[in-house]
Formats: sequence, structure tokens, C-alpha cells
Amino acid sequence: MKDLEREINPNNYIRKKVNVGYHVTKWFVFAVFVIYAISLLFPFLWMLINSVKTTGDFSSGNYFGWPKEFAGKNFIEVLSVTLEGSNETIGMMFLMSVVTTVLGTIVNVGFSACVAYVISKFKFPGRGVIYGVAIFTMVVPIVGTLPAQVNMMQTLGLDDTLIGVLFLYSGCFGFNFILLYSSFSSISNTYMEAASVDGAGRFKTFFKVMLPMAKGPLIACSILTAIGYWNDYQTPYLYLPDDFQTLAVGLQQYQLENQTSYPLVFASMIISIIPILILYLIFQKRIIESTNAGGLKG
Amino acid sequence: MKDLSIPASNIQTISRERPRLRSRHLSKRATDAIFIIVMLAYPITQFLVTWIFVNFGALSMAFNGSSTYGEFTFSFINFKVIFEDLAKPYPDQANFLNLNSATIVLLNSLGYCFITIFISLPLSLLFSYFLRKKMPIANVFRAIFFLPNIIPIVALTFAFKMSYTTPVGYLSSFFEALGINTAKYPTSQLLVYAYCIWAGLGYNIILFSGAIGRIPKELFESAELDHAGYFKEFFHVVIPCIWPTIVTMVVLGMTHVLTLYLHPYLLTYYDTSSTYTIALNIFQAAGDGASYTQQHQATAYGLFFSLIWAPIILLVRHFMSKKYQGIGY
Repeated sequence: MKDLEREINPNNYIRKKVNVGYHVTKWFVFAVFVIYAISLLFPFLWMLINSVKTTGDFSSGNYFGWPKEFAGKNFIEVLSVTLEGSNETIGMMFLMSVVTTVLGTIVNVGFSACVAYVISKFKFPGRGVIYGVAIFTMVVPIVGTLPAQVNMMQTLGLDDTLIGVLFLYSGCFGFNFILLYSSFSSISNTYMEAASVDGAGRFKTFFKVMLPMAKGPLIACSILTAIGYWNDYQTPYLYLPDDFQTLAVGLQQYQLENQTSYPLVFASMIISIIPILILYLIFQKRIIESTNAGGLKG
Repeated sequence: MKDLSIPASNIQTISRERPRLRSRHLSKRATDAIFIIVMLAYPITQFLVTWIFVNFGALSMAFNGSSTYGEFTFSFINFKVIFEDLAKPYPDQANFLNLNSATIVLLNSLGYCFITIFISLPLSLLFSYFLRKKMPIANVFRAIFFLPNIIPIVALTFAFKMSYTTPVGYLSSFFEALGINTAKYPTSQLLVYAYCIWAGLGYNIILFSGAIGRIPKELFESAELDHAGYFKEFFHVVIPCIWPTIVTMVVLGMTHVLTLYLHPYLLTYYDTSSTYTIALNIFQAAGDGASYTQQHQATAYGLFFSLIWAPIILLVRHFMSKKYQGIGY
């Protein structure tokens, strides 16, 4: 029968054969995707289930079952836990993370917008140099400068201060600059001219006309920057005082110190994830689009 | 014939207008200059202070042979130590290859380049390609795969580490049954690599998906008309079309050799001796308790390997860019 089919319509026969191969490969890849997706979700679901167990329940060997007794109070209890050698509670660390993230995002995106706007819309001597230097420093990282940075912060009196962390976060010649530069470049100059004809000064034009027009890219930059600062470990670890640490740093210490009441550690980890997860659920499309903004070309 | 001469009254008007125009023009330039200076004053000052201070500071530290704060003695001693460490004949710890610590650090660091180029990137490319092939729930997969990029690294490494932590981890009994000690080299390092692949695929997938999405549909349609299967389409359409993105991802992967430290630091906090990397060495020297000599040596260490590795990266980029020139989406 197959031979007959091949003789009558050879092209169709080949196509069917290819289609079978297509489908087998496609569903095999689908299975791989499902396994990988489960491998990413399962550890967190496991932590979530175990975070509402009592310490006794978990310690008795109930690692994979449902909680015998629902201990949602773990999430409240862990907020008042203090770490060794520190007066700061995990709740305070959470607040410190919020403050650092919000202020850090404002200074970084704010200054990036200022520079991006000026470089994209005004012609002045040194404009090309600034743009070139921004790209160069972003592309060519110089390794081994961290001890020198610590020295600089100590010399400037910025070590162990929130201002110091914000000073480093306010460096604005990075990804946000590139993204906002292209956004401002794509906005027609006629809007600036129209605002000028209406009597608006340069600052008013920037704040009242141009910034609202770049709202989309500004929100995208802010979300990505906020996620980055919420998760940042290095800067707060090196430059914030021990009693004013962020959640990212505190949780690392907490999980190392606490090897007995795992449900509390799991609860603290879930607390650190929730704000970011909410942001991700709301702005998921924008986050992925911005990460992919313009693509990467060699 | 028409009278083309300009009435005297008009001439007066023009001559009166000119100085006004010039002064308005000047004041506009002045306001622009003030605006530019105000807008750029802080960003440029911040950049100059950090960049100059940090980079010149790093240079002076690398060549500083003194161990006293504030004192500078020009010396190559910090660079000499790198070679001495690499040439040590004895292993600092028991490991299956009988290597000394400095060599392990180098191997560990170079390993990140290897796993990125030969495991992570090809896997991400394949995943991205199939996600674009009308895969059911592709957007759900994409959203889940991207999760490791938004979850705090401390929580992510903790979740990964818990999977093989004895006795609570769901993989701990599996490792025990095979008689594998997860804390011992090279398993400890292999687990760090496994983490990097597990957590790093999502970011690459998003970037590759974006690049594949920019390939004109006509190319895929003509490949389909030619009865090209997945294999042919992938190698003859997708790879050439997104080659510039691949080159950049390879270059980024190669920089991990010099920059990656948080993963081994957080995953093997209590015993980083076997999972040390070039960047972790520098990070540890920047923390509290490090001596000035340690800081100077770490800076020299970073500069030395940057000088060796940066030209290699540029060469790879140069040769890779030569293939499929003129195409790119």
C-alpha cells in the first residue's frame, strides 16, 4: 500500500514522513520544556509548602508531605527575627530593601533620563565623547577594581552609609542610558519646538513634555532597575552598615545561621520573592520586551 | 519697470530688528548651555570620580609593594605572586587531579566559558527555536523560563542548594545512593556549573527568541516550501540570520571567566576553596578583614587576567564576526 502511495504521489509521501518527524520532535521538545519548567517551579513550591509547617513537623522528617498543622504564623514570626551580631530584624531588612530599591531606582533612572535627553537632543562640544565613553565603559569591564572602589568609598566617607550606596547606584552611563537615549532620539524635535513657541523653558519642556512622552521606556527601565536593586547583593553587602542591611544580604546570613528551623528560613525566602513576583506578574510582557530591547548585536 | 528699492522706513525696521534677533539668539544659546550644564553636572562628576578614582586606584594598588596604608612603593611583587602560586608543586588540598589552588581557580573560571559556549548557548538556541515553532503554551514556558532572572539570587541559590542538602533535599538520597559527596571537589564545582546552566537558560532564551522573532517570515516559508526539516531550517536559516546575536552572547559568556563570583560564593559559602574563581578571589579581598597586601594582590590578579583574556575575547569576536557577514536580525 505504501509503495503504491509512493508511486502515485511521491511528494505527498515525503511530506507525510516529514510531518511525522516534525510532530515527534515537537512533542519530545514539549516534554523537555515541561520537565525544565517543573524543575524551576518545584523548588519554590516545595519551599512554600514547607514554610507553613511547624518546625517540629518538618524536623520529624515530613519533608515532602502536606503540613500536619498549618503554621502561617511563620511569616509573621520570621519578620521579628534578628541575626547574630545585629539589632536589625528581618522586617526591618525588608523595609531597608524597599527604601534602597525605591531611592536607587529614582536616582539611577532619573539621572539616566537627564543625560540621555541632553545627549540625544542637543548639539554641543563633547557630546560624541560622552556617548562614546558611555558605550566603552559599558562594554569593557575592568576586572580587579573592587578593592580600589572600597578604598574610594572609605576615602570619600561614603562607606557604611545609604548615601554611599545611592552614590554608586546613581552611575547612569549604562543600559538605561542606552535605552532612554534611543527613546528620546525617536521623539520628534517638533514637540520641543512647539513647547518653546508656547513659552516653555528647557526644564519645563523636559519635565512636562518629554518625560511624559517617554513614559513607556521610563517605566520599563524603572522595573528592571528596581528588580536589579532588590536582588543586589554586592553593593549593600560591602557598603551598608551591619545594622541596616537589605533582605538579600540578611537572608544569606540567616540561612547560614539557622540550620534547625527550616520552615522559618523558607518563609523568609518566600517573603523576599513576593514583591518581585507581583511586579513580574503585572509587568511580565514589558519586562521581557525590555530585556530584549533592540536585541544584542555584535 | 517696478521700483525695487526698499522704502527707508522698512530699512529702519530691519536694522532695528537685527540686534534684537541676535540678542534673543544669544540668550537662547546661553539658556541651552545652562540647561546642559545643570543636567550633566552630577552625572559627569559622578562618572569621573568613580571611574578615575577606581581605575587609577586599581593601577596604583596593583603595583604597590607596600603593606602599609597610604604608603606607595613601586613593585612587581603582586604579579610575581601570581606566577609563584601557579608554580606551586604541591596541592593545597586533596583533590582528584592533585592540583594546587591557583590552578583550580583558573580551571574553575575557564569552565564557565566552556559551559556557556558549549552547553548553555546551544541549549538556549534550541529552546528558543522550538518556542517559535507554534509550541503549545509557549508564552507560559517563556514566562517560567525567565523567572530565575527576577528571583533574588540568594533565594535562587538557596532553593537549588536545598535540593541536595542532606537529609532534607529531594536529590540528597540520589547523590548518597551513588556515593557522591556534594561538598567535595570536583562535584562541588560541577554543581555550581549545573546551577549556572539551570538558572541561566531563561535570559539567553529571551534574547535568542527576540532575534529569531526578527527573522522575516518569508525565509521560514521558503524553507518550508523546500521541505527543509527542523535540522536544515535551524542550521541554514536561523543560525546565519541571528549570527551577530550569537557572537555577542559568546563574548558575554567569555567575560564570565573574569566576572563570575556570586554563584560559587552563595552555593558553597562554607567551603569556597574548591570553587574559587578569579572574581571571587577579588571579591573576598574587598570584604572586611582583608589586609592591604591581599587587596593589592587581588587587584594585580584581576588586571593580569584581564590583560590576557581581553585580547582573546576580541580575537574570538573578530573571527566569529567574519562568518555570515552582512546578515543579522
